[in-house]
Amino acid sequence: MDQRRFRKLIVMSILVIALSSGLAATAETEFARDPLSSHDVRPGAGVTHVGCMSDYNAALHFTPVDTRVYYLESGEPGPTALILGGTHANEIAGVMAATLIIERAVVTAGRIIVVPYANNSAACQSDSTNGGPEWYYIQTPSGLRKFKYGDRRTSVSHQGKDPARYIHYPSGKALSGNSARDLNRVYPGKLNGNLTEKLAWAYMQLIKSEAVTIAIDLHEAGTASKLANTIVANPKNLDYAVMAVLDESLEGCNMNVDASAPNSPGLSHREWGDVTRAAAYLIETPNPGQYSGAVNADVVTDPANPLAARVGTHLTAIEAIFAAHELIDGGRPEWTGIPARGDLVERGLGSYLR
Amino acid sequence: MRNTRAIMTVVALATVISFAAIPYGAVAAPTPGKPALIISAGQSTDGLILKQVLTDRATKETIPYIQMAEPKDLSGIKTLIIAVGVSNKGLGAAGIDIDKEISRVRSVLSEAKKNDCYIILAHIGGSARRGGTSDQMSRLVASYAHHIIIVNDSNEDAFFTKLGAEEKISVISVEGRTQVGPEINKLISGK
Repeated sequence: MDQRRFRKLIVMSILVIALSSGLAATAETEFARDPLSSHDVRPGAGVTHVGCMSDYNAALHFTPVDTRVYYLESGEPGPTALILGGTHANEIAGVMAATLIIERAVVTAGRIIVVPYANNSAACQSDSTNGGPEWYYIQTPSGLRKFKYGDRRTSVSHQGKDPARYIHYPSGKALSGNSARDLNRVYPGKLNGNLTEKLAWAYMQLIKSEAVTIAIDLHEAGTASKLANTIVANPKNLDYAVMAVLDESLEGCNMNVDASAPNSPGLSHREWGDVTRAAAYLIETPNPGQYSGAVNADVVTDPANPLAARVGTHLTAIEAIFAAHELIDGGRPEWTGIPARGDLVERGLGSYLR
Repeated sequence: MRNTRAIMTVVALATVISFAAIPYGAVAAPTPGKPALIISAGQSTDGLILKQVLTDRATKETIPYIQMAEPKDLSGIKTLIIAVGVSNKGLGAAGIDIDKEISRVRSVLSEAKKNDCYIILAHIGGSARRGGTSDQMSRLVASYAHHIIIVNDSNEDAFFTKLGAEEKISVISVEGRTQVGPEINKLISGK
C-alpha cells in the first residue's frame, strides 16, 4: 500500500468513526429528550414547552426513568402547581387525568407543570403486581388510542436486584426490599442513590427550583380499599384538604381526608410537604384492576368505577384543592378546558382526548 | 296542734311521694346547648370536617375541636359532638393504637355522663369509615349518646338505624356532609 492510499484510508476511517459516533450521540440525545416515544400524549394549545426530568438531575440522562415534563404557563401571576400521574404506572386514572390536562387545559393564571408518566421505567413494563391487562384502549374522535397498562415499580432489569431490606434515606427505616424500586417509598431520594432514588431526588429539585407551592400526586387503590376516594394531605396543609372535600362539586364523590402519618417516610405527600414549601397532596380513586390476578379486569368501562368517573374524580379534586388555596391564600392556578365529572361520565373520556 | 301535726305529716309525705314519682331519667336527662365541643373517636379527620361545616362563614363563629380530648377538656361543656370513624393513618399520626384510643374515648364518655353533657354521635365518613374497629367505636359511643346524626352513605346497611333502635335514641340521616351542620346547629340552639 503506498503512502497516499494509506493516508486516504486513515482519513476515511476517521470520518466513518466520527460520523457513527455523531449519529450515536444524536440517538442518545433523542432518547434522553424523548425517552418514551411510545407514550401517546398529544399536547394541546395550553402547553408552552416540554422538558424532561433529566433537566433536574443530569444523572437521569440516557436512563429508562427519564420522562417528559409538560409546562402550561399563563404568563400571568399566580402559584405554580405540580401534577404527577403514573408514579405507579398501573394506577391509570392518574395517568389519564394528567394526559387530559396536557391535551385540553389552558392555564390563565399561574402555571401548572404536569408529568403523566412519573416513573417511565414502570410505565414500559407490564403489571407484575396484579397481572393487569397489557394495554387499554380508548375510542376518541381521532380514532382508537392505545395506552400501556404499566407496573407499580421501576423494572428490575433497569435497576438491578432488590436488597433484602430497603433502608430509607435519610430516616434509616427498614422497608420491604422492593420499596427500593417504588418511587412513592424513596422520597426525598438521593443524588447518588439507586435509579429510583435519583428520580425522586429530581422531583424534589423540580419542586424547589420551579417554586412549586401546590404538589399533587395522582394514585389509585383497590375498590375495596379504605384509601379509595381519599385525599391524603401533609399535616401542614390538612385544612386545605378539608376545605376541598367540602367543596360542593365534590359532594357527589364523597371523598375522605387523611393526614400523612409521621412514621411513614418516603411517601410523596409526607416528604414533599416536609422538605419543601409546597402543600402536598395525594389523591386515590378506586381501580377495579387492583387485585391479584386482575388480567381480565375491565379497567376502562367497569360499570361501578368507569375510568371516565375516576379521571373526573381526580380532576374535580384538583380543582377543589385549587379552590381551597384561593379561599385561604387568595390565589390559585386558573385553568379552562377541563370537563366536569358529570360530563366525562356522560360523554366518555375519549370525547375529551385529542 | 294535732291538726297541725297531721297537716305537716301529709305535706311531708306528699313531698316525698311527688319526688319519688318523677322518673329518675327525667331529672337526669341532659338537654343540648352551648358551649359545645367537637372531639374525635378514631382519629380520622372527620372532626376537622365537622368543625368546618359548623363554622358560620359570615361571623366566623365556630365550635372548638380537640382531636385528642381528655376528660379535663369537658369542663363547662353542655354538648359533646363526637366524630366517629377510625383512621389507621390518624392513629399512626397520633402515635397510638386502637386500644389506647378506645380507652381514651371511654374515659371522655364517662366524664361527659358524669357532667350531664348532651352527646351527639356524628358519622360523616361514609362506607370508608365503617366496619371493624369503626363499628366497634360507633357502638361504644352510641351506648352513651342522646342523638345520632349521619350521612346516608354511612348507613347503607342500616347499621345506625338498628343502633339507634337498640339504644332508643333518634337517628337523623342527611345526604351530604354540609347538611350535617344545620342539623347540629338546630339541636344545640334549641330550635
